[in-house]
Amino acid sequence: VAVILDTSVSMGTVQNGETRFDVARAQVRSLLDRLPGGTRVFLIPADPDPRVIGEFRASDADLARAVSSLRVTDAAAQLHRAIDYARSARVGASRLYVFSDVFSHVFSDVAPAESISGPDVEWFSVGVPAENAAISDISWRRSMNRPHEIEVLVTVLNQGVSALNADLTLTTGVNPAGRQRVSVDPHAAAKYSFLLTDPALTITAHLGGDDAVASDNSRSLVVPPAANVRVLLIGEGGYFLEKALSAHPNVTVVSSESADHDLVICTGCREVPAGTADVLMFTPPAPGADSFALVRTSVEHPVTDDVDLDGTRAVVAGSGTLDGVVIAVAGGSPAIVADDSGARRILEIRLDSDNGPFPLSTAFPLLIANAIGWLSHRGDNRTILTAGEPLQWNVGVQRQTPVVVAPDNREVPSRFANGILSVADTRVAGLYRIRLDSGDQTIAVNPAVRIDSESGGGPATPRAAGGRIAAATAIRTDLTVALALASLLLLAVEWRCGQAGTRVM
Amino acid sequence: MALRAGWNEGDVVRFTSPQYLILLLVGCAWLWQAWRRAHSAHERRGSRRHAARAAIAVLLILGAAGLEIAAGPTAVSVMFVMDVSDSVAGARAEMSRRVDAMLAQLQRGDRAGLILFGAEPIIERSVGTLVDANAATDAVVQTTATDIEAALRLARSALPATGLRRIVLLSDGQQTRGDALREASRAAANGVPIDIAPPVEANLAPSPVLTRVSAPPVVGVGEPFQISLLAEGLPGEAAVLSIQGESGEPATQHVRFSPNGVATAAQVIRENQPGVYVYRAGLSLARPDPLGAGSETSDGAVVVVSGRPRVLSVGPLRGVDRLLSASFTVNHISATDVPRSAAALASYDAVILEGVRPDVLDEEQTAALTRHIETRGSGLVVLGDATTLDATIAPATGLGRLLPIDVRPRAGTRAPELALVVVFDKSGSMDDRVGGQAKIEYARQGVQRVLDALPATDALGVIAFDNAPTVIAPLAIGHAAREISERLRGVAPIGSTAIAPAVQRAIEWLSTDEIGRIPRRHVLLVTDGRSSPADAARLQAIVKESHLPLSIISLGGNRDQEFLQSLAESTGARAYFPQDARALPELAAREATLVAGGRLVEEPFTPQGMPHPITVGLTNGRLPRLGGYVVSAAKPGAEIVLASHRLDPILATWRYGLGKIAVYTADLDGPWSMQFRSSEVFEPFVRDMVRWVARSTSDQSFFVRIQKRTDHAELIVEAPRVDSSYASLLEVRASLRRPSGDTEHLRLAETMPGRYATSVAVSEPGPYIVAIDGRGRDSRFTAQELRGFYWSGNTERHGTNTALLSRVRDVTNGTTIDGDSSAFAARPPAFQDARPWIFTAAFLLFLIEILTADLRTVSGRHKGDAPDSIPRRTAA
Repeated sequence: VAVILDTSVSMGTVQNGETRFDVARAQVRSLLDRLPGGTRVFLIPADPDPRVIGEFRASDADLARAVSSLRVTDAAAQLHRAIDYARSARVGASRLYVFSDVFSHVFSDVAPAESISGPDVEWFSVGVPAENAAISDISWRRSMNRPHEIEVLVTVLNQGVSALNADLTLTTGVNPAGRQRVSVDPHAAAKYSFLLTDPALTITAHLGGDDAVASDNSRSLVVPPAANVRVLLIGEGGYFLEKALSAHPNVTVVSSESADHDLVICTGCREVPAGTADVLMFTPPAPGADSFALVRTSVEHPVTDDVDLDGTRAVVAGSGTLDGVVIAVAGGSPAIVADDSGARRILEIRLDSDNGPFPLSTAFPLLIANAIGWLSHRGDNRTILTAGEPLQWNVGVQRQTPVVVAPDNREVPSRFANGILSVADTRVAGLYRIRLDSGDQTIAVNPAVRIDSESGGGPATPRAAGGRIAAATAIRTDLTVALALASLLLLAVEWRCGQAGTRVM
Repeated sequence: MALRAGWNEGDVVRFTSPQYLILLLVGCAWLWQAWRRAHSAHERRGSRRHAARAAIAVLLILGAAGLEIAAGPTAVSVMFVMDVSDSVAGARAEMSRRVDAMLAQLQRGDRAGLILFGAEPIIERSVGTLVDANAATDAVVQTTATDIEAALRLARSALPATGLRRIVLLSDGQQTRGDALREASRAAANGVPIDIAPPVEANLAPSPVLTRVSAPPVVGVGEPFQISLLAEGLPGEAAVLSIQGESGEPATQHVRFSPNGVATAAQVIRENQPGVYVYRAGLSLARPDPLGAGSETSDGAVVVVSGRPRVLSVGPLRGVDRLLSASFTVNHISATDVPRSAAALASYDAVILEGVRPDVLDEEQTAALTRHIETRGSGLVVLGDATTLDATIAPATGLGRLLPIDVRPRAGTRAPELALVVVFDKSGSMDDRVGGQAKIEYARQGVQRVLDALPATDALGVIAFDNAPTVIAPLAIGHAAREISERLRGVAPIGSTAIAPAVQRAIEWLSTDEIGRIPRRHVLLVTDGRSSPADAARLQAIVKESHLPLSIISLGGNRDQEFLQSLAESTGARAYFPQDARALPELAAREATLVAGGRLVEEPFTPQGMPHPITVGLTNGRLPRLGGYVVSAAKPGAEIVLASHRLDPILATWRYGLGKIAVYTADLDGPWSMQFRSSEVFEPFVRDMVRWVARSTSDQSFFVRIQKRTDHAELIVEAPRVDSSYASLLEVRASLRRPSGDTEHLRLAETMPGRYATSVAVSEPGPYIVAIDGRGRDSRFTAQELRGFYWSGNTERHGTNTALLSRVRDVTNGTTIDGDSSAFAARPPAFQDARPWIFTAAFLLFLIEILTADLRTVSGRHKGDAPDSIPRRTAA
């Protein structure tokens, strides 16, 4: 059989002095007592990446210890995936026991009913609706013309049956940055806005007052600094292109190849310039070339976000060399092509950037701005995650393997390959640090708050210090080395004693 | 040899804990010292013993260091994950062949499985059972979508938990669901590399398809705009692309796919009337599609054409026309001239009905008006008064269905209570036909309209009679309308007429103690009046004695008119003698409303204004005094913008389909609103009311984006302010009209300051039209937008998404498998744990050393020699 235990945030709700998770664990132990002692039991926590903690006999003391060692996480439950996993070939359980504070119908929108509530599944529900409030969302945006100002939007969710009146405070680092009195009706949400000038990197919102779940009363975000992009311009450039670059607030044009640069813009290039930097290429114009109306293809690409290209006439410069994703066509031929398959990002615009209606259109500077954003990888690395979401950062070549440090200062298992850092275990909310060659980077991992919780969800209140997902995998320890060393020691002692005895005699 | 817990090609042995090898140096030093001492003491037999012990020590150290010996290449478990969705249909055979080629390169001990996926994954062969990919055709997979994430997740869960594992993804990477990168991160963290094997591009030659139709979302009236079509197909092939508006012939263009496999066409269009226009585009081929996908595909575009807002003012009054002329183009017509098709109304952004009785509009006009509001997002303003807002407006039919109010006096603390008994004739004469229907049918409809007009909290009884009364529904509070309707259907006209017994029964009901406490008690008699003189005399006596009001609707023409008139008037009630029986239902409803009382409130009051874009100019100190209004109640979902002192609606609004409707109940052109009309806030109020209701195609306050995804569309509204900040904390709602005609109301969530978004599930192909409304908390900020998009239902993407596949590969440190090359050729050697052998050898040496020593001891005693352990010098 498989025992699937919900470890999501809402299982930490405290009711009658104990958490729902405590109640669920007691139910699990009760179930195990009723099972025949020889029954094979797979223990599966239903977190975002369901896995088998271990395979035990029902009467095995290790199983009881494994159940006790499980902790509530800050992530959302993925019960339907855990059920699928329990039925999969690797586990192959014929009977599934699910312990959760939600009912199977809640998942009917993400999984077929028969898959989560078949005859092989038995649900054990814990908990009753609780008085809880949470910060369910926090977002930010830089002012359009005042880059030193940002607006922060905080959503407060009242999951209880009583009206919520509490203080909402905002801190930047450790400094208070704003406070508002919030009032939210039962089972309702309200948004509050803060305007911050010269914000610090990390901003945390905190909701005052006591409720059933404490940790969902805080939520953080990380504001990445507005990075300057150094562009190496190769070729003649052109009036309209230089105008578009000069209008970009975060672009610095360098003309010497020896100068440090982040990307290359090459006008009139027939081949991709050598080097490692990403490239924006304009194919050299052909004399007497015709103009055609541009038509975007069905490809959704960040380069064409909010750019109205359709119908804009452009002089087609000539055939290019890049074999990538066609973003727009003109006259039946690819006009804008993007390639992201290799180590470099390359965007090829096979249009005349100096003649015809295209460079005069409003689409042109927007296209250039979007191209610089895409080529400079801006926005590729997320700085705000929800607990349980895998982290994937493109950090490029590093002299030393990057290290990810969790909020409790433990090192998080990570994988670094081809310049990409992957972390799957983000089940604990808080601020994570990524140690790179260039210094520490911070990302905020926030608890998963279930908006439509029927039982007032939120992360756990009582939890042990240190990592909350306790691995129950170290139950057996290999004593081979210890025994070998002990034998060696005995041998040495015996040998030494033998020699000493010889000398005495 | 490797000293670390890793491996290098050519390694023969390795150690899991190489740090313990340092003990060898210690052991060597020890051994050297022991050896030297033994030689110095001439202990030759002892040196053998030292050698044995040294060997045991070395073995123990090697065991502690975790010696492992190379044992050939590591066995690998491979899960092939093969895309079988429509976008790779042409490459299926090639991918199966490549799987077979890779299977052939697997080595002894390797195990392989196969997962097929489209919209969902299915394990075709579990790990260890796959030997031939071509034979794997059992699975039935939905091929219209591609979910790579789900397939990779299933593959990872189906692989063994330990050992060397690989996933080989055979796909074009055109995912339409899920996020493959998310699962790639988890696979990377679990040490499972994902190799990619994209199909050969030549095998992905698409069936010709119309991939995109583009058009500007909003244009001005008379402004030329271009609709562009992009199609993909086989290079050199001929096709016909067509564009068609809602009327007229389609414009067609013959095209040929370029060497790049694309073809484009464009059409310049100009629309001279504002409104929402849908254009359908199509692609057809001369030849049948080799893949059987059909030789025709279609898509479309929706364009909103905006201009100076146009208002159609309908009715005998022109009170508001002058006020609106500065902001709107106003056309005025009489009610009989209201167009009978929605197309004829298309150019109007709002329709105003002032002084128009609903029954003046016929069914066609009402249907056209309803369709115009519901589907084209136009607005309707009903300026009502005592004559136009009456009981003839049924709340669920005709024009009444559009209104946000119910004009029946409703239950509640302010509603007068009523006990009404309807007594209707079912004698044989009621079987006479009028207009193709028996009179009894109109009587039934009359009772039904009375049921509709009365709130359920009032008491109602129904008696049918011929020569004797038949109880249809006993007088009771809280009548069950459905049951009474069913019983009415069972009433058949038969027998002679005797009114008095039935009326007497009604009066008895109304005279009970319980009913007697209800302030208003009334009898409504419906008959064709063909009663006997004796019955008439008895009726007169009963009515006179009861002192209860008796209203009469007689279908008997002039017969007994004088008697019935005097009888009704003697009780303070009314008698009606319609020439046409078809008027009976409406008369019955109106009489029911009248006897219910409280239909009008005529007393001076100051209304209460709610925060709303219409009432922005009516601040608390500037609210006008009104003299009366028609009593009504807001329907569920309606918003009361202006309320009376008794909290009845004066101005109520709601959204109906894509449009908006407002009803004013205080006779804007009559004496009730006289003081209001003379105030300075009146003109802005009327203008704001019509402006809010009118269809708004484009507002500079909102920037709307609609991003079509594979199975949904994202509706994103940006709300910047002129000072470069963001309009936050707005209430933004949208009404979405689907191709089927169903309307869905959505709320947009603010996902970041000034950005509001929602997801729209789409499935049925056709035009989707969205009316968006934004409002600030104080109602001072308002914005409206009308947008549309066309959903073709075609989610297929062509070509290979190399960016996604490369990223999946790189994240997991996988490889690209080109051609038939195998990812399994280079693999680490398998190392076998040597510790059991080492410890066994050490133990055997130990035994031998002990046994040898014992044998020497025994042998020495026999020969008289001293054992090794006894030093010679001691013996000497």
